[in-house]
Amino acid sequence: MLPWRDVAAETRLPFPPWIMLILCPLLSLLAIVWHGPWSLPVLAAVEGVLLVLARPGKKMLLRLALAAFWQTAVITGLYVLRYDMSQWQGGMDISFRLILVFVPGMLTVRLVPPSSLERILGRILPGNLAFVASCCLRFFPLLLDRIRIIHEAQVLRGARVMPRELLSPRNWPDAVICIGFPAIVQSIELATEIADSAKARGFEMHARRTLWPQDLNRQPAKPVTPTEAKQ
Amino acid sequence: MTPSQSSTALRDTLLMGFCALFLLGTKMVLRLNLGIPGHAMFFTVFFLILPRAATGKKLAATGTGLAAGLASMLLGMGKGGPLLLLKFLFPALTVDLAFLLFPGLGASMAFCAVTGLLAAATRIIGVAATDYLVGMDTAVLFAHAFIKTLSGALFGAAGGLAAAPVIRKLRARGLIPASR
Repeated sequence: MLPWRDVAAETRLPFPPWIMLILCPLLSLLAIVWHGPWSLPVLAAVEGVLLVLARPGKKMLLRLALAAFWQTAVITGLYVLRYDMSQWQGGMDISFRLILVFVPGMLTVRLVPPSSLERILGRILPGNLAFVASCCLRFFPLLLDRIRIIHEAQVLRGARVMPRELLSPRNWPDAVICIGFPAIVQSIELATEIADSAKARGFEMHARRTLWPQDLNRQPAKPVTPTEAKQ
Repeated sequence: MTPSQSSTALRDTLLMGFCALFLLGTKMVLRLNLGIPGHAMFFTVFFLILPRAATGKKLAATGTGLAAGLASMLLGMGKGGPLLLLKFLFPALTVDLAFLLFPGLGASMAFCAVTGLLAAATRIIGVAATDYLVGMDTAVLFAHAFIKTLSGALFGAAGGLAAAPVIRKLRARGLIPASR
């Protein structure tokens, strides 16, 4: 049986991961709807603190800088083309705001571990949906493994589905028929297997589902000795 | 609901969940590498049409789109924050509406292509709403939204074209009933 890991130990956050799941969409929303003079500095400061907490590597910072550069170039360019050079500041303002909209999401991926996300979903969603969500998350890697095996087999058969070959649109129909179709069939088969297994284990017998791994967090009950039982 | 019905319903919901995860996965893998605007609509449309045709549920595409939208909103894939939900919701509703109005045409190339084109074109609503709410000038807003939607619509049509043969093969092998 897999050990039940401590949520706090696997995150880099000084607070529980669920706060991040509320804070990030809220920050994105504020970047869209809050237009006061202090909006940009305040949001930039909060997101900056979260970015420092995320301890981004060079690769992540480079990716962020590239995205910000293209965003700014396109929006500011459109402003200058529509009006004149004097309007570049308006374009920059909008670009900066759009960057503040998508940075929180990137931070969520960085700061909230997938396992914590799964556990949090189990608490939020109603019983059956939480079961479906956790099953999909749990079995998706297995499905990807099966698709990888199919891909390797198709490459050995001579299908033109190597990454370099897929750059040419002429090979896209091959990818759909040789990889897409078997992948869908595998998904249907896996979904059927899970549904049958769940049914065999009495799924939907109880209106309120239980989430057994949480019980492992609790201390096991102290065994009662025969002497204590007599008392 | 009989046990067999509940098992089938669970299977269909799981399949929708897998399609939502495929949709997210392909978006995550492709959005930074290809550099062509709107190319993600290919897989968005493909994985919205497929659960609708495979499960036959009236709101299967909407359910898949909502699941993918909520997950991508939480994971912050793309710009728009909570408005990301709209970018999935409108194409999904379009797919469901098309299948509701023209049942049994799921395997038709023309039907899937037109549905994909229309579904991807509805992305303009989400893009325009985000731009409007951040305060973009109206004239620039329309140009920006149009540029972002045009290539997406073409990729959406291609996604529909790719879904049709897969649906046809699934029908031929008896994995989904011919009526869908």
